[in-house]
Amino acid sequence: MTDEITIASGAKSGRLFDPTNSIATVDKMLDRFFETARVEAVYGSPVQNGDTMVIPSAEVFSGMGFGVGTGGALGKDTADQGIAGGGGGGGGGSVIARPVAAIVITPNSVRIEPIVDVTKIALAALTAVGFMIGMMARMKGKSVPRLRNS
Amino acid sequence: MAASFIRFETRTLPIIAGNQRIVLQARALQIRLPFGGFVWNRPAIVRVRSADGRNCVLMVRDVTRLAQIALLALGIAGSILIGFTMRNSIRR
Repeated sequence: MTDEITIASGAKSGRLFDPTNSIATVDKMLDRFFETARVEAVYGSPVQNGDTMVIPSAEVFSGMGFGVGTGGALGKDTADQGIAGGGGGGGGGSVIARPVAAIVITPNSVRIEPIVDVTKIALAALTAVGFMIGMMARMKGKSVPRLRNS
Repeated sequence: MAASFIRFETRTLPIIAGNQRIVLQARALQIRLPFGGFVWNRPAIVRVRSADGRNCVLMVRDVTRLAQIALLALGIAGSILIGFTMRNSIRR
Protein backbone atom coordinates (compact mmCIF):
# COMPACT_ATOMS: atom_id res chain seq x y z
CA MET A 1 0.00 0.00 0.00
CA THR A 2 1.58 3.19 -1.00
CA ASP A 3 1.19 6.34 0.98
CA GLU A 4 -0.41 9.21 -0.77
CA ILE A 5 1.83 12.18 -0.43
CA THR A 6 0.86 15.73 -1.24
CA ILE A 7 2.79 18.88 -1.05
CA ALA A 8 1.26 21.36 1.36
CA SER A 9 0.82 24.89 0.16
CA GLY A 10 -1.05 27.73 1.81
CA ALA A 11 -1.68 25.88 5.02
CA LYS A 12 -0.28 27.80 7.96
CA SER A 13 0.96 24.85 9.91
CA GLY A 14 2.31 23.09 6.89
CA ARG A 15 3.58 26.10 4.95
CA LEU A 16 6.66 25.24 2.99
CA PHE A 17 9.18 27.64 1.52
CA ASP A 18 7.36 29.73 -1.07
CA PRO A 19 9.70 30.81 -3.87
CA THR A 20 7.22 33.33 -5.26
CA ASN A 21 8.38 36.10 -2.94
CA SER A 22 12.00 35.27 -3.65
CA ILE A 23 11.44 35.51 -7.40
CA ALA A 24 9.78 38.90 -6.97
CA THR A 25 12.73 40.10 -4.90
CA VAL A 26 15.15 38.82 -7.52
CA ASP A 27 13.23 40.67 -10.24
CA LYS A 28 13.46 43.91 -8.30
CA MET A 29 17.17 43.45 -7.76
CA LEU A 30 17.70 42.70 -11.45
CA ASP A 31 15.81 45.87 -12.37
CA ARG A 32 18.17 47.91 -10.23
CA PHE A 33 21.13 45.95 -11.54
CA PHE A 34 20.29 46.82 -15.14
CA GLU A 35 20.46 50.49 -14.24
CA THR A 36 24.22 50.14 -14.85
CA ALA A 37 23.30 50.31 -18.54
CA ARG A 38 22.72 54.07 -18.15
CA VAL A 39 24.97 56.63 -19.80
CA GLU A 40 25.72 58.12 -16.38
CA ALA A 41 27.42 54.85 -15.41
CA VAL A 42 29.95 55.32 -18.22
CA TYR A 43 30.59 59.05 -18.14
CA GLY A 44 31.53 60.60 -14.82
CA SER A 45 30.72 64.01 -13.43
CA PRO A 46 32.49 66.85 -15.26
CA VAL A 47 35.40 68.42 -13.42
CA GLN A 48 35.85 72.12 -14.06
CA ASN A 49 39.26 73.77 -13.77
CA GLY A 50 39.18 77.32 -15.04
CA ASP A 51 38.14 77.27 -18.66
CA THR A 52 38.82 73.57 -19.02
CA MET A 53 36.32 70.83 -18.30
CA VAL A 54 37.31 67.19 -18.02
CA ILE A 55 34.83 64.32 -18.26
CA PRO A 56 36.14 60.86 -17.34
CA SER A 57 34.78 57.82 -19.15
CA ALA A 58 34.94 54.17 -18.20
CA GLU A 59 33.93 50.77 -19.47
CA VAL A 60 31.58 48.94 -17.11
CA PHE A 61 31.04 45.19 -16.92
CA SER A 62 28.44 43.84 -14.54
CA GLY A 63 27.08 40.38 -14.06
CA MET A 64 24.66 38.86 -11.58
CA GLY A 65 23.06 35.47 -11.01
CA PHE A 66 20.60 33.95 -8.52
CA GLY A 67 19.20 30.55 -7.79
CA VAL A 68 16.37 29.34 -5.54
CA GLY A 69 15.17 25.91 -4.70
CA THR A 70 12.48 24.30 -2.61
CA GLY A 71 11.36 20.84 -1.70
CA GLY A 72 9.17 19.06 0.77
CA ALA A 73 6.34 16.69 1.44
CA LEU A 74 3.35 16.42 3.79
CA GLY A 75 2.82 12.92 4.95
CA LYS A 76 -0.78 11.74 5.36
CA ASP A 77 0.06 8.52 7.10
CA THR A 78 -1.27 8.45 10.64
CA ALA A 79 2.08 7.31 11.85
CA ASP A 80 3.78 10.20 10.21
CA GLN A 81 2.12 13.54 10.83
CA GLY A 82 5.27 15.53 10.35
CA ILE A 83 5.93 18.01 7.65
CA ALA A 84 9.24 17.86 5.92
CA GLY A 85 10.36 20.69 3.79
CA GLY A 86 13.09 23.06 3.00
CA GLY A 87 14.26 25.69 0.66
CA GLY A 88 17.11 27.96 -0.05
CA GLY A 89 18.65 30.37 -2.41
CA GLY A 90 21.85 32.08 -3.27
CA GLY A 91 23.33 34.54 -5.62
CA GLY A 92 26.24 36.71 -6.50
CA GLY A 93 27.34 39.48 -8.74
CA SER A 94 30.25 41.58 -9.82
CA VAL A 95 30.78 45.03 -11.27
CA ILE A 96 34.06 45.96 -12.92
CA ALA A 97 34.79 49.47 -14.14
CA ARG A 98 37.87 50.36 -16.10
CA PRO A 99 38.86 53.89 -17.19
CA VAL A 100 39.00 54.30 -20.94
CA ALA A 101 39.52 57.97 -21.78
CA ALA A 102 39.18 61.51 -20.55
CA ILE A 103 37.27 64.05 -22.59
CA VAL A 104 38.96 67.44 -22.35
CA ILE A 105 36.77 70.40 -23.26
CA THR A 106 38.25 73.84 -23.73
CA PRO A 107 36.49 76.95 -25.07
CA ASN A 108 38.04 76.35 -28.49
CA SER A 109 38.25 72.60 -28.79
CA VAL A 110 37.18 69.18 -27.58
CA ARG A 111 39.65 66.33 -27.57
CA ILE A 112 39.76 62.79 -26.24
CA GLU A 113 42.77 61.68 -24.22
CA PRO A 114 43.02 57.88 -24.03
CA ILE A 115 43.96 56.31 -20.73
CA VAL A 116 46.54 53.61 -21.29
CA ASP A 117 46.90 50.84 -18.71
CA VAL A 118 50.52 49.79 -19.04
CA THR A 119 50.09 46.87 -16.64
CA LYS A 120 47.42 45.21 -18.75
CA ILE A 121 49.41 45.71 -21.93
CA ALA A 122 52.52 44.23 -20.30
CA LEU A 123 50.50 41.21 -19.14
CA ALA A 124 49.14 40.71 -22.65
CA ALA A 125 52.66 40.90 -24.05
CA LEU A 126 53.92 38.34 -21.53
CA THR A 127 51.01 36.05 -22.41
CA ALA A 128 51.84 36.32 -26.10
CA VAL A 129 55.49 35.55 -25.46
CA GLY A 130 54.45 32.64 -23.26
CA PHE A 131 52.33 31.20 -26.08
CA MET A 132 55.28 31.34 -28.46
CA ILE A 133 57.78 29.90 -25.97
CA GLY A 134 55.37 27.12 -25.11
CA MET A 135 54.94 26.22 -28.75
CA MET A 136 58.72 26.23 -29.28
CA ALA A 137 59.23 23.98 -26.25
CA ARG A 138 56.55 21.60 -27.46
CA MET A 139 58.01 21.36 -30.94
CA LYS A 140 61.53 20.85 -29.56
CA GLY A 141 60.20 18.01 -27.43
CA LYS A 142 58.79 16.35 -30.52
CA SER A 143 62.10 16.69 -32.35
CA VAL A 144 63.90 14.53 -29.73
CA PRO A 145 63.77 10.89 -30.88
CA ARG A 146 61.93 8.64 -28.46
CA LEU A 147 63.69 5.58 -27.14
CA ARG A 148 61.71 2.44 -27.79
CA ASN A 149 61.63 -0.31 -25.22
CA SER A 150 63.40 -3.28 -26.71
CA MET B 1 11.40 36.10 -27.52
CA ALA B 2 15.18 36.09 -27.72
CA ALA B 3 15.18 39.81 -28.54
CA SER B 4 13.71 40.65 -25.15
CA PHE B 5 16.55 38.83 -23.41
CA ILE B 6 19.29 40.49 -25.44
CA ARG B 7 19.28 44.23 -25.96
CA PHE B 8 21.88 46.38 -27.63
CA GLU B 9 21.18 50.03 -26.91
CA THR B 10 22.74 53.36 -27.66
CA ARG B 11 22.08 56.06 -25.10
CA THR B 12 23.04 59.71 -25.11
CA LEU B 13 23.66 62.41 -22.57
CA PRO B 14 23.73 66.02 -23.77
CA ILE B 15 25.71 68.63 -21.85
CA ILE B 16 26.43 72.29 -22.42
CA ALA B 17 30.01 73.49 -22.04
CA GLY B 18 30.40 77.18 -22.68
CA ASN B 19 29.13 77.84 -26.18
CA GLN B 20 29.42 74.21 -27.22
CA ARG B 21 26.75 71.54 -27.08
CA ILE B 22 28.25 68.13 -26.42
CA VAL B 23 26.42 64.84 -26.71
CA LEU B 24 28.02 61.87 -24.98
CA GLN B 25 27.01 58.55 -26.46
CA ALA B 26 27.36 55.13 -24.84
CA ARG B 27 26.58 51.65 -26.09
CA ALA B 28 25.23 48.98 -23.82
CA LEU B 29 24.73 45.28 -24.36
CA GLN B 30 22.24 43.78 -21.91
CA ILE B 31 21.50 40.10 -21.53
CA ARG B 32 18.66 39.39 -19.13
CA LEU B 33 17.86 35.85 -18.13
CA PRO B 34 15.26 34.63 -15.61
CA PHE B 35 17.77 34.39 -12.79
CA GLY B 36 20.57 36.65 -13.78
CA GLY B 37 21.98 38.98 -16.29
CA PHE B 38 24.95 40.68 -17.80
CA VAL B 39 25.59 44.28 -18.84
CA TRP B 40 28.50 45.58 -20.88
CA ASN B 41 28.43 49.35 -21.11
CA ARG B 42 31.11 51.43 -22.78
CA PRO B 43 31.67 54.94 -24.14
CA ALA B 44 31.27 55.20 -27.89
CA ILE B 45 31.11 58.64 -29.50
CA VAL B 46 31.31 62.28 -28.51
CA ARG B 47 29.43 64.69 -30.76
CA VAL B 48 30.33 68.37 -30.53
CA ARG B 49 28.24 71.19 -31.92
CA SER B 50 29.93 74.56 -31.67
CA ALA B 51 28.22 77.95 -31.53
CA ASP B 52 28.84 78.57 -35.23
CA GLY B 53 26.95 75.42 -36.13
CA ARG B 54 29.88 73.18 -36.93
CA ASN B 55 29.50 69.54 -35.99
CA CYS B 56 32.32 67.27 -34.99
CA VAL B 57 32.24 63.58 -34.14
CA LEU B 58 34.99 62.08 -32.00
CA MET B 59 35.39 58.34 -31.49
CA VAL B 60 36.29 57.15 -28.00
CA ARG B 61 38.93 54.53 -28.68
CA ASP B 62 39.94 52.07 -26.00
CA VAL B 63 43.68 51.99 -26.63
CA THR B 64 44.37 49.47 -23.87
CA ARG B 65 41.86 46.97 -25.25
CA LEU B 66 43.14 47.40 -28.81
CA ALA B 67 46.72 46.81 -27.65
CA GLN B 68 45.67 43.72 -25.71
CA ILE B 69 43.83 42.23 -28.68
CA ALA B 70 46.73 43.02 -31.03
CA LEU B 71 49.30 41.43 -28.73
CA LEU B 72 47.21 38.31 -28.11
CA ALA B 73 46.54 37.93 -31.82
CA LEU B 74 50.27 38.32 -32.45
CA GLY B 75 51.02 35.66 -29.87
CA ILE B 76 48.56 33.18 -31.35
CA ALA B 77 49.72 33.86 -34.90
CA GLY B 78 53.35 33.60 -33.84
CA SER B 79 52.69 30.29 -32.10
CA ILE B 80 51.01 28.86 -35.18
CA LEU B 81 53.84 30.10 -37.38
CA ILE B 82 56.46 28.61 -35.07
CA GLY B 83 54.58 25.33 -35.04
CA PHE B 84 54.45 25.11 -38.84
CA THR B 85 58.07 26.16 -39.27
CA MET B 86 59.50 23.75 -36.74
CA ARG B 87 57.28 20.91 -37.94
CA ASN B 88 58.67 21.31 -41.45
CA SER B 89 62.23 21.36 -40.16
CA ILE B 90 61.59 18.21 -38.10
CA ARG B 91 60.21 16.37 -41.14
CA ARG B 92 63.35 17.18 -43.09
